[in-house]
Amino acid sequence: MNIVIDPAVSSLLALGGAALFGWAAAHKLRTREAFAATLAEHRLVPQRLVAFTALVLAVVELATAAMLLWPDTRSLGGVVGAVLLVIYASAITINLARGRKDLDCGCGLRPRAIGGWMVARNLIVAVLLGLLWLPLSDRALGAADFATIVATLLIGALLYASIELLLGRAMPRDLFSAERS
Amino acid sequence: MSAFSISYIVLWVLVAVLSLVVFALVRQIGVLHDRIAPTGALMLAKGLTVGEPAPVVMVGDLDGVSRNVGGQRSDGRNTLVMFVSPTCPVCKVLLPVLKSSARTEHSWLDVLLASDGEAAIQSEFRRQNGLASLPYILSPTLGIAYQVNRLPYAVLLDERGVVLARGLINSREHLESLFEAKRLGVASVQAYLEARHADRAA
Repeated sequence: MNIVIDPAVSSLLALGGAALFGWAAAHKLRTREAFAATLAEHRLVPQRLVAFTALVLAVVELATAAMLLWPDTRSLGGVVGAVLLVIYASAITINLARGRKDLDCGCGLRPRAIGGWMVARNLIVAVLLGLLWLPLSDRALGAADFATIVATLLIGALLYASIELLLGRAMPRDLFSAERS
Repeated sequence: MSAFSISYIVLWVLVAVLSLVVFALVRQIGVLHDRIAPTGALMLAKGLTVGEPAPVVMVGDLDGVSRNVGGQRSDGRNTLVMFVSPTCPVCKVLLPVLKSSARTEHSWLDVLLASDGEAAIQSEFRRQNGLASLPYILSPTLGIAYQVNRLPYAVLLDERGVVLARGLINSREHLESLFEAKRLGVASVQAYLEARHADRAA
C-alpha cells in the first residue's frame, strides 16, 4: 500500500510552514545585524563568513516560504524547510552540549534562550514538513476543507505562540546588547 | 477520506494540543503560588497593639463634620482608618485600590481617610483623586494617638473599637491582607507565617 497524504492536510502543513518561514525570514532581514551578531555568538561559522551566512539563511528561508506556497514546488519546499530546521536543531544541540545555555536562539522578536525543547520543536516541525514529500491522495478540495484549513491555521498559530511563550525563557534585552557591543 | 473526517481528525489534534497547553498553564499557576510567599501589610514594631482597643479620638473632617474614631460602634460596622498625605507618592498609587476596596467591602466596612495639614491643599488632593465618597479626616492628634510614623498606613478596627490589624500598605495585597487578618483571626502575615512554621515543626 502506498502511503499518501490528504490534500487538505498537505495544504495545511504547507501554508503553516510558509507562514513560519516567511515570518522568520522577514524578521531576520529586518534586523540583519542583530541576527548576524546572534549567529556569531553561536560560534559555529567562521567570523569572516558570518554576515554572508546570515544573509543566505534569511534568503533560503524566504525561498522556502515561497516554494511552500506554490503547489508544484511544495514537496521541495517541505524538504528544504525540514533540512533548515534540522540544521538549527543541531546548532542548538551543539551549543547546549558546550554548556552555553544563555545564547539567544535568534528566532523571535525578543531574545529567547536556547533550550532542549527547541530541539524537540524543530524536529517535530521538520517531520511535519517532511510529510509534504508524500504523494497526494486523489481528492478534490471543497468548501469544508477551506474552512478547516483557515480555522486550523489561525488556531495553530495561536497555540504555537502560546507554547513558545510558555516554554521560552525570556532573556533580559540589555544584558544582550551589552554582550554584543 | 472525506473532507469531514479530515476536519474531525484535525480538530482532535488541536483539542489535544490545547489541553496540553491548558494543563501547562495551570501547572505554571501552581508553581507561581508555591514560589511566591504570602505577602501582607508590614507590621512595624512600634504602634497600636492588635487585640486591644484603639484610643478614641474626637476629630473633624473636611466636610466640617465631627466624629469619634475608635470606640464602640452602635451599627456593628468595622472601620478602616487609612492614613494618607498629598505629599506621599505611594498614597496616590494606592487610592484607586482603596476606593475599589471600599466598594467591595461596603457591607461590613467604613473607610476613613486621615491626614493633617492645610485644609486647602487637602481639599484639592481629595478633589483631584475623586475621594468625595469617603470621609476625609483632618487631624494632627489622630496620627499621634495611633502612632503612625510612615505612610500609607492603615488600621482596621472592629465594631468594639478593637484593633484587628494594622500596617504599612503599599499595594492591594497589603490592604487585602488586613481583611484576611480579620477573617483568619491573626494579627499579621508575620504572625500567620510564624504559626504555620510552628505547625510544621510540631
